[in-house]
Amino acid sequence: MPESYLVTGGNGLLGSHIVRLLLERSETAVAVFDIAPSADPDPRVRVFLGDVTNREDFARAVKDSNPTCIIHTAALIQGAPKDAMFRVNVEGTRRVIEAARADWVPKLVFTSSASVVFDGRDQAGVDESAPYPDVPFDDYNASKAMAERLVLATNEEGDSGLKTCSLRVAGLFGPGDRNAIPGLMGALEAGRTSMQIGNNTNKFDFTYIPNAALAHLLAADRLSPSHPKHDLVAGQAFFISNGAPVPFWDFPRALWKEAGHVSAKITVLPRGVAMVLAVLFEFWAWVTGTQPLLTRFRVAMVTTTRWCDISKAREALDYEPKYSMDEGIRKSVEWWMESKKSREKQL
Amino acid sequence: MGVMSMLVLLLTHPVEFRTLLQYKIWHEANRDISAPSEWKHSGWDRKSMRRCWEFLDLTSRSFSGVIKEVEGDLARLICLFYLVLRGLDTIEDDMTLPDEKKQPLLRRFHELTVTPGWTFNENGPDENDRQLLVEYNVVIDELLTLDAKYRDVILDITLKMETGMADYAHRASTTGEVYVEKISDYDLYCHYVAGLVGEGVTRLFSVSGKEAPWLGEQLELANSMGLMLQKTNIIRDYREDVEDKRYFWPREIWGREIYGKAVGRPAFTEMAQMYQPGNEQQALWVQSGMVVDVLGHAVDSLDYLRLLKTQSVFNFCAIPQTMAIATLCLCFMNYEMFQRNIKIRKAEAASLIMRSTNPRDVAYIFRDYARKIHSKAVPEDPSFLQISVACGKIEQWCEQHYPSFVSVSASASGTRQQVFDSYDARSQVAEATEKRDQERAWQKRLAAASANGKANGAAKPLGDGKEEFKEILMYVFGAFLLVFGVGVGAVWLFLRYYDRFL
Repeated sequence: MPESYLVTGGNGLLGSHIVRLLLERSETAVAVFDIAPSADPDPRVRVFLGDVTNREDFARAVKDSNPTCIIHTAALIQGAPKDAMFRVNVEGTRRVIEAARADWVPKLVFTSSASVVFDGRDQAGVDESAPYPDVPFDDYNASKAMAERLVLATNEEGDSGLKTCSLRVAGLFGPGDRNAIPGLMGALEAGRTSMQIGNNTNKFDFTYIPNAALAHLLAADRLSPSHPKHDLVAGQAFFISNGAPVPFWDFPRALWKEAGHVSAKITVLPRGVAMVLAVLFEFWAWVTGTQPLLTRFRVAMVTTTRWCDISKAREALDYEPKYSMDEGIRKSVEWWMESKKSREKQL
Repeated sequence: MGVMSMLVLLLTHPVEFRTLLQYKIWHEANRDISAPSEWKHSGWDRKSMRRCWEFLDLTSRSFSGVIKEVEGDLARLICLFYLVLRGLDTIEDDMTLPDEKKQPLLRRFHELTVTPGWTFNENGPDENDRQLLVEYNVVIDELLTLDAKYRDVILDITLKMETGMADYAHRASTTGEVYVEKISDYDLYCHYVAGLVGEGVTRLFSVSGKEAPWLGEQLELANSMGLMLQKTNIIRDYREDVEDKRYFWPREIWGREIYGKAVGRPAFTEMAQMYQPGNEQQALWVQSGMVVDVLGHAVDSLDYLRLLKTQSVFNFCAIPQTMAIATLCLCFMNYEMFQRNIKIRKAEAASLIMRSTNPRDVAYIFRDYARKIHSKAVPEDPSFLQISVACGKIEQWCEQHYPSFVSVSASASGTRQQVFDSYDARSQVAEATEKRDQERAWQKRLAAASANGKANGAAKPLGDGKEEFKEILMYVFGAFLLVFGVGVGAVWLFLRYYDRFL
């Protein structure tokens, strides 16, 4: 039986890369469910526009596209309001599961985040045996962890035959990125490249998006009960990254370097000092009602060690990062420069 | 090192003085191969073998000490293996020998090396180790006394190496090519001259029974061990080699346009350009490219070391590896390397020898040097992120094999205990696992105990550890009562019949 795919958030960053890979391997039934239309639509893809939290919208998409596999990438990322984040990330996922069960969809691949196990403390080589923290680091992590639990519990129930797995991607970046690359390139354009918080010994995991997209396809294939590795995948969570953790500040520096900039002098702000400053900034922002320039959250983000062990994905999913960090950075900066040109043209 | 220079060191570098002193007291040359008790292994009682040991000292200053320390027959085996390869190398290296003469000699060397009485005195007068070939019959005599299983390994590697060397020598003399073009050519060359040595000694370890039989089949890892050393030396010896018109660096690396572009120039076309003034920056970028290439072997070498079980074999393998990564760190981003021959300091070497005793410490040595290398890398370097990733791989290896949240603490009584860092999230998992394992072990024991009880017809209820403890207490108390009772009884009997004994 030919497979049929429905990718939620398929016009988004990761989703569009998954759709591209599906088309590249000549899948004939690829559909996308997204709240916004694609900037660059492909005639081979059926598009359903709608809100994932709206039961009717999504149920209709499932009925019409009749998928054998749902790849659920749609989510709100860090920075969104708390209630919206929980509504989309948790309730939305609940809707997806319900619709999948109602229509006897056999497979569901869920895009999770490596941060679901993050509790603010250093994590060097964390693997899937780590528990969810009692106190999540932030709302985003909390919402993703709740959604992931729902997805994995569904596999256990098994009455509808729905098989699920969850991919915890770490530090996504790449062309089309609206978070990491624009943020860091924005810092470059604003001339804020000479400040380093912490001593830059903390390693950090990044994932070039096409690598993460590839992992989704591998997982989808292995969820089929006939696949020899089915038992290793169904109901499991996997960390996915480039498998090449680098000290945190090396990443932006490599990006800036690719864009032709190397800061002449680097001021190192020790972690403790930065924390105190952040408290002051946050207080000032609270008093004046503005956005703080530095927050404790951001200081923690850039000074903790956070990388995962992807052995389980290597073994069960046969996942191997296909593109190196160097290549990812080159392609990302290329894309950023191109899109900058077109943005300037529009102005 | 003389007394005077040690005294100077005490004043200028007190920490280094301390290291060297400790090294002299505790670590220098433990094994005396000339002692009668060692003759059985070292063959010192035979004149031919004694000459071989002398040749080892003459031809290898850095290795001879380490080789002698390897236990049992292995030291002698490795010594002979080394001399055979050194003999082969002396023919290959000799520029005064024409290709027609060299080819048959090289390609027949595995036969010549076991032909009784064969010697060779046509080497050029300046060839360093020509005396070895002049008296080569002593090596042949010793090889012929070896057990066939050892000789086969040595001859097999000799055959492979001579073929590779002959091919290279032939190509160099017929095509007039001076440079190694591709990285794959460079890897292959290093495989012939060093990877095969790794393979050979590994097989000798296995055959001798000092290491597992399957170790000899780990060719990829053994090759990486050799490549790590050879490539590091090739980088460090840049100036010396270029002066002698020996070019080992592959053009695919030093001729990269990207290194020129980074400083607004064309790519290098000659290797000697790297030491010419004005080219410093570009030369350093080339060097980084070379260092990244070596760092790729570091994880393999850690994998290899973890498979070893014999202490002296471990030391023999690990010491050159830690020296290599220290040398790499010394060379990295150091332009001096292009100007003269640089070496790690004596005290650093001594400290490495003292610390290279187990895979965990060696891994941490690698990690520390990787961090040092990383701290010297700059974003302008075209290989910046690759350096960062390569150093990260070493760190990943350490974390996976020796996780940082587990530390070993030694108490005053000498018992060692593993301690989990409570700040690390993985500690929770490890503690939970430990607890679960403990509970399982209890359950198992109790289940076994209850099964035993049933078999004896008296079913015992399952309990926890406390119940058992009570039971033990009861028996102890019972035994005490029994002893006490017997004692009291004996006294009573003695008093009762006391008068009768008199």
